[in-house]
Amino acid sequence: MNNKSLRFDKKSRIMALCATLLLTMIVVLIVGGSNAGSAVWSFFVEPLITTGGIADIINRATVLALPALGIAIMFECRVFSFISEGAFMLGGCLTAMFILGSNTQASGFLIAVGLIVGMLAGLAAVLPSALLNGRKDVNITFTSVITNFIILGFTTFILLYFMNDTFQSEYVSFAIPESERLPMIIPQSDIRLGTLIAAACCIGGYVLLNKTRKGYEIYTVGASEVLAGYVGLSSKKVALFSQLVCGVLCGLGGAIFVMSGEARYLWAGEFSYIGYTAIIVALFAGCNPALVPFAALLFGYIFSGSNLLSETTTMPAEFSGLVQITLMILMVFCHRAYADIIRFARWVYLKTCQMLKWCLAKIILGYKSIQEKINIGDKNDNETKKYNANKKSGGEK
Amino acid sequence: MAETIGFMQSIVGGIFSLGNLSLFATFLTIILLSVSAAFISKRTGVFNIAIDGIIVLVYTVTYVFMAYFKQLNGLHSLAGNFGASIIGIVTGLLITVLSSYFIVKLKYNDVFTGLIFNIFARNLSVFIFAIWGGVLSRQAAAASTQMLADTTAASFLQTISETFNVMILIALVMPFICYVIMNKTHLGLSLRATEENPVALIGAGIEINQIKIKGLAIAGGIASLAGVALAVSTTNITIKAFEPKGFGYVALVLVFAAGGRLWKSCGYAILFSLLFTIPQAVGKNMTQIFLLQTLIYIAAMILMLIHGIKSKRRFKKKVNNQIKENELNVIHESAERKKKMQQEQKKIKKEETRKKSTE
Repeated sequence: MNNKSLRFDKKSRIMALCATLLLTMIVVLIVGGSNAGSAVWSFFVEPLITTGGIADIINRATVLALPALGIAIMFECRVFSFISEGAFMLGGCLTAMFILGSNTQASGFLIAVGLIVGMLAGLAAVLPSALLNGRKDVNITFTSVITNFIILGFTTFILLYFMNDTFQSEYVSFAIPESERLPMIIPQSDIRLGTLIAAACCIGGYVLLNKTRKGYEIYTVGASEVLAGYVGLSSKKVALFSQLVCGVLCGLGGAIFVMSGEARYLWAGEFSYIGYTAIIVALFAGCNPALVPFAALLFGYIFSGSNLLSETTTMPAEFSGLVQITLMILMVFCHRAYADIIRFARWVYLKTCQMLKWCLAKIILGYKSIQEKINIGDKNDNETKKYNANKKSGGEK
Repeated sequence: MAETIGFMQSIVGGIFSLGNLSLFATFLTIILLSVSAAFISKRTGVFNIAIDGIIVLVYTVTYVFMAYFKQLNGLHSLAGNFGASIIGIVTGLLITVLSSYFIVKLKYNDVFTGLIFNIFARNLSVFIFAIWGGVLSRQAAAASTQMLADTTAASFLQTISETFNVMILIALVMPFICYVIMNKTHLGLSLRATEENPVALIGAGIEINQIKIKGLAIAGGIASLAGVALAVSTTNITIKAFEPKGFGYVALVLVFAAGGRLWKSCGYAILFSLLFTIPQAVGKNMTQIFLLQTLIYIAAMILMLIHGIKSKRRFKKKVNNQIKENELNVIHESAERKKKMQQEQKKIKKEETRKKSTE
């Protein structure tokens, strides 16, 4: 697969976005019923005008942006691994376990070490599938998916055995104390240091791909492994490097998630689906690190809107997942079938014009024919009058 | 000693009890059907990971409609459950057609298409459970009955006995049907050709896309049956715990590890059904069950590793053989050349001697 096929052009992106928003609007209007106006307001507008809404969008985008950035770098190298989910979960789980299990009072040191633990956990999650693929040529997609399941079992075991908060109704870890969470950068908004780290990573990712030797190596291997071989690059080493970067970023994302927001590890026996959603974010951004934050913000906006919608209507918050994936499906469709869509739109436009013309013509012609009939009728009347008059005058003569 | 033997006997007896045997039959049903679907989709030459999503969605739709029809009637009705299964299969086929349209017609990457449709299926399932679960729970609360539970009573497929249902028969027959389709029908043979040499088919003027879509549709139909089997066998459900353990992915791994051979894949399927049964049979609590389940996926990894090593060795052997053949050919050719040269030299010498003698 050529890397060009990962990119989406502006037109298809805008088209898909408009179509998704339109569909969402229709669904929200239907669900809203008598309160349709307030439902639309809470989904589309409220997240953007309230402080809480904006903070929610930024926090969700922060969590999505880091794994998405890692995936973007990895996909540029044509390594189609889905390990982001496992790396994210392992990063979060081990960080939570480390922080909850430590007795140190120095919170700053603990936070820094927690982040490093998350990154190392991400690295450990990536290694098995990366090595199997690099050394034994085992299919990377399968190995990554199976590794995700192994990590799921492992993290569930850790959660249930070591840090299960039995006072909660669900299987979740104990909450991390406020002193050991990431510090807030804007007071009373819950926007934490993690957002700055994510922004810095995005800039770093862009620089890595576009301004460094390693980035060009990744691009070269992604473009053609054979060409990379001729140039003297080891494609396996470059692929391994890209996977390690992805693992580190996903693990960091997991650590930041656990150390901000709800500050718990939440997933027992089920995937978080943040890593998988991050793949969709990366694909939506066309694997371009510069666009990843914006795509993450858009997905965060949809999350936030759905949450607010669920408070005002009967629509569940899970609606966000459906909207996001519909957006992705429509974008692929618009990108691939762009010419067909344009041809279809043109056909519809022409047909509509023809129909309108026909209708107008019918109306006008109908009007004319009536007029003509009236005129003919008048003429006939005049002629009959004339005839009668002539007859009368002839008779008199 | 006697105590140890007694303990072992109790464990073995526990594992081979009727309940565990029915559990094994359930897993065998699901995995055999999934493997059959994966086998056919592999034959189309498409890396179709959307099988997992199809199983998830069909499972959800069938389950929810079964529960809904059950609540509508009050009692379990054969027609209602059969209708729910049909709705599930139709949903699965719709998703299959949509995903194959993206892969075959729009030519989008099959791995990403599979992933997108898997996430779509999962999100839709969660959404359906969130909506229908709420509706059903409200109705159930009003009727003071247990919600979304105990579909074993509603199992319309329990015709063999109380523990085994008809789906196991379908699953056992399915590999034979797949074998017949692949080896005895025009479609099957053209599917094989599509996998092995699509360029030749295009050259022969055969429409590949239609064949691929037909193959994927058959695979999707079989995967839908796996989803129905999963829904029929599920006894209790909550919104959070419906993750179906990635049966589609495991089936694909088994087929790829078997090198695309049907009977070998079925053998692996039986082995993995046993592996899936063990955690449920032996595990005493959720922690133990999850830890033991991890072993299944580790086994799958080992299987892939063995397959990788074997295929690499095979490849090396092939290359070595080719090199040897080439070397032998070169030696043979050089020997022949030498002979020819010697013969020519002899001829020249003879001619020279003749010329000299005549002179």
